[in-house]
Amino acid sequence: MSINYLKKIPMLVFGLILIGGFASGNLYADENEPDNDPTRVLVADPFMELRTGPGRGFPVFYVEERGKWVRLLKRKTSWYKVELDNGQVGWVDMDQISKTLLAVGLERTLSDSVADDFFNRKNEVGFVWGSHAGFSFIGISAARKLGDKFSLKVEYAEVAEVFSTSKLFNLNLVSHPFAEWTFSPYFELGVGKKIVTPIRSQVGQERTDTITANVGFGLRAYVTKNFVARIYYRRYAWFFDDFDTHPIDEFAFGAAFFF
Amino acid sequence: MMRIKNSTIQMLMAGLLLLVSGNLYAAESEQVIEADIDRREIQAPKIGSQDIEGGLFFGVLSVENFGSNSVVGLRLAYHITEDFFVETTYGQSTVSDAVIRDEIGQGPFPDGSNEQLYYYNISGGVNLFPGELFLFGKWPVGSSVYMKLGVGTVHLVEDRQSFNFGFGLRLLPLDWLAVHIDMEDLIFEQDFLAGQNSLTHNFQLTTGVTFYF
Repeated sequence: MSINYLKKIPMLVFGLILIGGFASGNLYADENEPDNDPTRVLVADPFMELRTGPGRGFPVFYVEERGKWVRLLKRKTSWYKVELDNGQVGWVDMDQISKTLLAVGLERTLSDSVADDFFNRKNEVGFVWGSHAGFSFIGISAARKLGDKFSLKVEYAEVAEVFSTSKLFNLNLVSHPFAEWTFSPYFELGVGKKIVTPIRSQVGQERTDTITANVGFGLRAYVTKNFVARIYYRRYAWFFDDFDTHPIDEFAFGAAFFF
Repeated sequence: MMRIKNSTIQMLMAGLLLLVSGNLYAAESEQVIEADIDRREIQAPKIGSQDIEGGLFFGVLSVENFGSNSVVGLRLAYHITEDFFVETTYGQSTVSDAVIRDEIGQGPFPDGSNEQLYYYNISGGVNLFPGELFLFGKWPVGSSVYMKLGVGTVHLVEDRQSFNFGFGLRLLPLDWLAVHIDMEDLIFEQDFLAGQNSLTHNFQLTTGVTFYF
């Protein structure tokens, strides 16, 4: 038995050498790789201050100068985590390395490129808070762009009334004729459902469920990065109605993110 | 038999006109001659971002008139900049009216003495004192104190509009991991005891863990 083992030793050694060879080959390849690595960038700004964390409150512990290579690892808000060739890892503000980032197409502090990025985004998630028929409400929405000027939006909102709570579901077509403006007016048109549930003390009242139509206009303001604020007015009317109910006015302001 | 309202149709027609005319006007103002510029093609590297934070929290919620109970919840935040974030939370707890029931023989809750309370809200937050703490004198941990303000809905027997206001401490032992300690005031109206609405302050003390992704 032991002889059999001994016979296998040269094989084992050969195998180990082979594996070692591949490993060192890979190691060698790794050292040369970074030039093809798009996350490795040349520092183009006069210097780069490395902080211990992604924020102004963290101390600077290292400064790298122009002409050195660094690797961009990840981003947190406006801070990039970078790794230097000497192994130091720290966080640097994108404002301070704008030239470096521009050279590799990552510049995001120039308003133009930020806006480009922003207007190319397709999906939007937002929330609103306002007044629906004089009662305060909160809502969430999700939208998807259809071409340059239009988007399709679904919304869900809850209204806290005195004797009831209402749920609103809407499907709206939104038009942004001046989408590229910082303050851009928009128009919307939609259909939806309003479900009114009386609160417990309202004995005898029943849940109602109506189909609604709505028309509105608003102003959207581009705040920063992928963030917009908006304010709007909207009027709801009932599609089918035997009681000639008055239309309902809604005012709200909200915020949304694009991604 | 229900009928389609004429006024609704008129309103919709006006809306449609608005939608279309706005775009016609915008189309007119577009540039006629397209500039022919050779742009340098740059392939920007894909750098992962970690602006979203999600996780769990648990603690104590004190509901005015009904005592304190444990609360658990979920938290999802998006960091817009280094200083500002928006957050949505969902929390749930059980509220008991047993003390009142024992006292006067009848409780304010319609179905038994225990009621589920749940709430969800959307808040805006600001990071006040970003910096580094040295735990036990030697471990540097990123930290920040934040303040938040929001609106939401509280369900206790029925839905109520709520406002929330709070302070918190966020510790960052790792890039992608945060530990929170939060103190929040959940403000909403109750009509259980007096028979009329009165504004109540409901304090919540929680701790939680979140992950950045």
